[in-house]
Amino acid sequence: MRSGRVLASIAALGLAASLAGAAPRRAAPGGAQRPGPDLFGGYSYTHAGEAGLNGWSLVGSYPLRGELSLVADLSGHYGSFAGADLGQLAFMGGVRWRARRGHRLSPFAEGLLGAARTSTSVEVIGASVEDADTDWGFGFGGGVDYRLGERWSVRALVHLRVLWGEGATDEDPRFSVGAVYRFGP
Amino acid sequence: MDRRTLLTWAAVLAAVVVGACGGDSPSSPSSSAGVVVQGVVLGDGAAVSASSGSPVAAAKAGKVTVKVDGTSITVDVSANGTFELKGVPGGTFTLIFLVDGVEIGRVVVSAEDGSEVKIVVQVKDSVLVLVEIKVEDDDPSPSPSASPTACIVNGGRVGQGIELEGNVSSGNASAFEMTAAGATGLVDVDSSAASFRCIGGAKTDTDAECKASVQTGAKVHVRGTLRTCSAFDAVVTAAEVKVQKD
Repeated sequence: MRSGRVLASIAALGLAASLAGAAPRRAAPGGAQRPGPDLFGGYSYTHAGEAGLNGWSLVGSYPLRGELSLVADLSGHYGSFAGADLGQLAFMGGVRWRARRGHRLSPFAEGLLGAARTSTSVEVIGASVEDADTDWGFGFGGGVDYRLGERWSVRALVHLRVLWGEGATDEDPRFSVGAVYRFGP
Repeated sequence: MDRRTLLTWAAVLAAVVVGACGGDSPSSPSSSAGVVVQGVVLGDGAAVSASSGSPVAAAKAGKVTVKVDGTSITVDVSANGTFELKGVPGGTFTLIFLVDGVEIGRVVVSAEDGSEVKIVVQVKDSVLVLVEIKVEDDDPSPSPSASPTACIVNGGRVGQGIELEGNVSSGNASAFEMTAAGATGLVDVDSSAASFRCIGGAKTDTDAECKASVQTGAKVHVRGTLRTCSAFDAVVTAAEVKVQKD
């Protein structure tokens, strides 16, 4: 399971790096950011149920009109609890509203819908007992981008993810920090 | 960006964090005293494999709740199967597992104040299956009261003396597995440092002959110390092994 996490993390970072490398690098007039797709990659923490899990987050956005963007959010979180190994892979999509685009400090809010797949495994005297479950849900929250240059920013993001499982509803906070690369002109 | 806008956003983010952290608190008192029980409930579709393969889709039976018998301490199991109980009075207590309000099983645990119990169970066909239980004490030395009662040796206490009577199922005079009265599974016996004595039947004079009679099917009486015990296995270090000769 650990090697899977590492591979997933490397794949996420590699995808971000390759997309960033393929993008044009033309300066925007005045240094302000114009609307354009962007990709965020970084560290992520979530408190899932009773377990604190660490992992990665990869979020892409595409501008719609005005201050609105479409958002696709993929994240993986891993850890152990009560002797069992837990992994959670989530994909959510939704809409982001950004305030004061083009300023150095640019906050945003977003609402997402999607699903999270949680896998649990425990090793008992040489045998592995495993379980996996997919829960649907939604997330909302916001964050802030701090512009470092023409295309790069750093981002802090806070979400509350609500997941409906069989007979239970989890309200899981999530915190992510990382780098953002903006594509387009 | 003006200060007012920043403060507004800070307040929104703080509200998200505070709201999130307040959502999953168990109804038990959040006291540092007592026992902390952390657990995972696996669903009906959990797969067991000798090596880690692909997990199968699970179907949890419904809303799972865990209660501490005789107290008001109760908690709903989260959607990902995790739960935590805090402030459980130390000593022997019973965890009651319910699905949609209907009891499906109990686990009796002995743990001292300040210790942490880690338990994994599975809800299978509306029946509770204990997968694993560990009691972690603040005191690193083995403590008899830190031994879970989910032990295959009835009444067995880790670190204390024990006497077992039963039959050898495999092994030899150095180490063997045995069935024992009052045990629900095979007990591993480390007899490498034990003294051997043959009793009854034809007189056996030599120690070597007595040791050689420790074979599959031999009736033995073991006196020693219970080193480990779980719901699946137990290890006893033998001080004396008596072999019954017919």
